[in-house]
Amino acid sequence: MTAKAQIGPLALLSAAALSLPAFSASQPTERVVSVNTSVYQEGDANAAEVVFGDLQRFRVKTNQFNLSAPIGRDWSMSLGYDNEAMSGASPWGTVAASDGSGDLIMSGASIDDSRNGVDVNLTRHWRGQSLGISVGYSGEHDYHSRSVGLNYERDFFKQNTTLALSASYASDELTPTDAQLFQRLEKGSKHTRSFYASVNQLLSPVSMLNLGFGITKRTGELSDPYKLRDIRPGKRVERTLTASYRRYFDWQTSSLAVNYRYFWDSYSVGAHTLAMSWMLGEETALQWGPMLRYYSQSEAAFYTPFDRYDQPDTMAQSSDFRLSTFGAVSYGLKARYRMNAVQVSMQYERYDSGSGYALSSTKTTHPGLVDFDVVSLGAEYRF
Amino acid sequence: MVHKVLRIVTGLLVLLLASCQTVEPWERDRLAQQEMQLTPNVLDARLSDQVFFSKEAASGGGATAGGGCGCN
Repeated sequence: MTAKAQIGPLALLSAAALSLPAFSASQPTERVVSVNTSVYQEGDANAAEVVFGDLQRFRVKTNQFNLSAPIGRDWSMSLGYDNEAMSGASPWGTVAASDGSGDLIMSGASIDDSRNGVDVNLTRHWRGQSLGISVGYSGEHDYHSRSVGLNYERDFFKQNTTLALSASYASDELTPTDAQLFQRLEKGSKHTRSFYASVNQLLSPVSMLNLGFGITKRTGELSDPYKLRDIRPGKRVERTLTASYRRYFDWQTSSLAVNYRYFWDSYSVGAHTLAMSWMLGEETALQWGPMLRYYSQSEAAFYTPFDRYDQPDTMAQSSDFRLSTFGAVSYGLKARYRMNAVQVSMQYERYDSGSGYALSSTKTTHPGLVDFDVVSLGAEYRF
Repeated sequence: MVHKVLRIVTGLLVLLLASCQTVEPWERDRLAQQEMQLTPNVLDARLSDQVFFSKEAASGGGATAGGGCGCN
């Protein structure tokens, strides 16, 4: 089969039948095994803005596996596994620079860690509704997270409308390395509770809309124990509003995906995320297309451009670049090639961040903001 | 800002729902294409969630909350 070969009508109808559960509570009808390997590489820190430490920032290699399958007539399951190996230097803190911004104190490049994550989901399907339970574990040498979740879906109006509700709880344990040497927290915990509700509506034979609302409450040790001066409130409430739109075009058998999220939290961070992708050749063996993402956030109420040792350690402060005002643009390409039941995929994404991309203005740009590239290669088998 | 976003979302919702039609099962072949799904590729989605969660303050907007790593 050549790259331009058309997928036959039978295969198309099969794909339709097999993929429909994504829009409804129905049981999936095929088993899918997928694997993925990727490399994430951050750009080096700017030497002119680093007063101590290594310039070489993070590199992460990730291997992933996923299996999803129907069980009997009424059940389905999925099993996911992720392995990450990371190395490089990360920001420890900031000191005041002459222009009112901060200069970076970096760690050495000796950080070398790995993470293993696994999650299992089991779902019971009835006519027009489903109820699933999931459990997950993620472990690093200094961080362990355990989670449990419930999700419920119900179809209405001939499966034109689907309501989805989910709730989850995660309990995390932190045991930072070299705690006594650097006077870090020796042991801590945090807890995350979340609830998410969404409605999926088919608008026409070629378009659909999904709207969602989520609320997450985090409590416990929310400060970064590896930062030299990082004191955050022990409670954080986050809310999200999401809208996703899909539109199919007969021209080039292409599809447009648009996802928007508005996020706001009790740290006073407000953030907009708009992501779009365009896939050409949906009904051909070779599919490809560009993707574009824009992100903008405002800073946390207690964000400071440099660490303030003149403030008491009971007062919240953080110079973490992730809590500063900044924006980011990411763009890339993805391609897939189908050979009967097997599909291979490639994806490249470039991420550029800076205060100039932000919707709100700021006087200083954090020197710790990162640019990175992600390259991934995957394969999928349906049977 | 929140109220402004809510108003825009509500307006879009009303507009879109007013124009929607009942889609019969045999009309859904194009809706069933891979890229038309909310999560076209579960592994890509997991990777993206992890990357952005570790570099940005905002997270969530899906069925499970962000968390489960020491990266943020």
